[in-house]
Amino acid sequence: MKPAIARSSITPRFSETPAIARRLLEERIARRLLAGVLTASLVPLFAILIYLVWQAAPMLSWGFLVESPRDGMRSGGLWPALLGTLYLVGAALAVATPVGILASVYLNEYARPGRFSRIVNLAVINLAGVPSIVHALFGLGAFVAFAGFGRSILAASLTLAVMSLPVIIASTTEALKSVPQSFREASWNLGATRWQTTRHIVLPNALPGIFTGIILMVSRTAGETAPVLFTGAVFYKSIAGGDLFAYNLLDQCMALSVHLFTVSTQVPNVPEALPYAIAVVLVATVLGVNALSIALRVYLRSRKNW
Amino acid sequence: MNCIEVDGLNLWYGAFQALRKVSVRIRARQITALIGPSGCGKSTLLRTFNRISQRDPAVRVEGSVRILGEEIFSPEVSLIALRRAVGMVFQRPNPLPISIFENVAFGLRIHEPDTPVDAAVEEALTAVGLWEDLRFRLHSPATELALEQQQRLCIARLLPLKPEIILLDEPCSALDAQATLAIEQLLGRLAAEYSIVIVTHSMAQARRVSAECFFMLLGEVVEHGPTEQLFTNPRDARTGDYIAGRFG
Repeated sequence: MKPAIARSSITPRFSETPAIARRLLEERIARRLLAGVLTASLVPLFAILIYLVWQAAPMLSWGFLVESPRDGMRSGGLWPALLGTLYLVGAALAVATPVGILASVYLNEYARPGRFSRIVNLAVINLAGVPSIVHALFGLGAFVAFAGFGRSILAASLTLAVMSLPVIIASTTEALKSVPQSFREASWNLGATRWQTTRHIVLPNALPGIFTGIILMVSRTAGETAPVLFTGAVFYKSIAGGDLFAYNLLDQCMALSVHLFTVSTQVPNVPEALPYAIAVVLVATVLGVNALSIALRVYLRSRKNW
Repeated sequence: MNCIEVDGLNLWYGAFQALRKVSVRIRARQITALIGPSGCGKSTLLRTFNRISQRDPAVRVEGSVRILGEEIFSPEVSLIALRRAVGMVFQRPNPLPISIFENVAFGLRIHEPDTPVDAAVEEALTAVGLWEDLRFRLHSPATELALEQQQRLCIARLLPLKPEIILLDEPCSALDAQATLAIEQLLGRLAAEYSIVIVTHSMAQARRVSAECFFMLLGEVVEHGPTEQLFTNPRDARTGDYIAGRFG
């Protein structure tokens, strides 16, 4: 026989008391407030993008991308600047990526933990915080004058590379640290050397993280103005529109960031849409390179086995 | 015949002395167990046999360890060659984050890049009883295997290098009872060809698998002898207390 307890006779021990009601109210307020703050921080981001594209719309066309500027920069396209930025970022990437990764591998996989590696790590972090105009001055002295490259794509991209090295080293270090120590131990215990362990086990597993650092670097260097202005970018340079190989490493070049600066501040009577169009192309270039790296990173991560 | 001979081995982690005047003889082609409570130095002793313990810069050793008659602390010894001959299996299975096949082939690939590996991989996986189960999925990630299979794989990974000695550091502590039994049976089979040293916190396991047993306490070897004798008729009172479960 079932115990005959009527539902109504159960004491309401799980019902909502005033104290609980107050906490639930706090909870609702917190949720709305946090969502509101997130929205508020996203609004400017999209507002900027929409405003830029809106203002730039009259100028944007395929011709704008692949033609040279005309009429004292007041019409035509921005091909020399776009190509210049691609060259600068590409060359900086080609130098900074291998150097940064290998330096970080030494620091993490070879150097004994101790005072030396602590000091180097501290130096790297501080170097990442040095303002870009200081790097610009260093580049002017070291690459343009001392090394004798003159004001050129080479000097400018080396300056950008030096500027982005700390970012790459720091992010590669993070990526290497995230590879479990047990993988290294397993490899060492089979008699693998440090290099074999690094090459076959550690690096492949750190690649996705390393790419994050490279993405950061691309975003930063593509937009830099001061370092390239000091070391290799010029006001105007005429090259064949649409020609991918129009620059040589010892040439000076135009760059999107510098072009935006000159058109906005140094050239009178430019069409209102022009600076916005340049900005849109600059943003699109950075986003495009980022999208490519992110796709690569997702692909690499999907091949990761743990 | 002895495969490992240790004389007067002292080892310090910084100021802490983890091994005190340890002298042992470990015989070839059988299973030798190192037992004792946590912190007694049994793992430390095991990890000196392939000098993996010396990766820690705070570690200092003194004394003599001879493996197959050769002094391993002498400056001519190559750690790469030593670790090839003296393989180790860890407490948590640690397959490399590559395929099953590549895990087993890894040792050969790093030591002898030009040797064909297929036959050696099949032989090693057969020896640990994985070949039949895994032969059609050799190229899937090793980290997706069940824990017992991972631990078998970690043993198989050593075999293509034809090691002289296999060291196991509590190899079953992450496994359930059935998997533990299966690994123990595997070790029993391997003991015909390899010298095996196993560290275990389980006295029952030591008793099941080993032919000879060393009991350690506070960095010293208290007693050693044939396993059955050590368990049924310990000479030292501390050994008796430990195996009776009065401490540890």
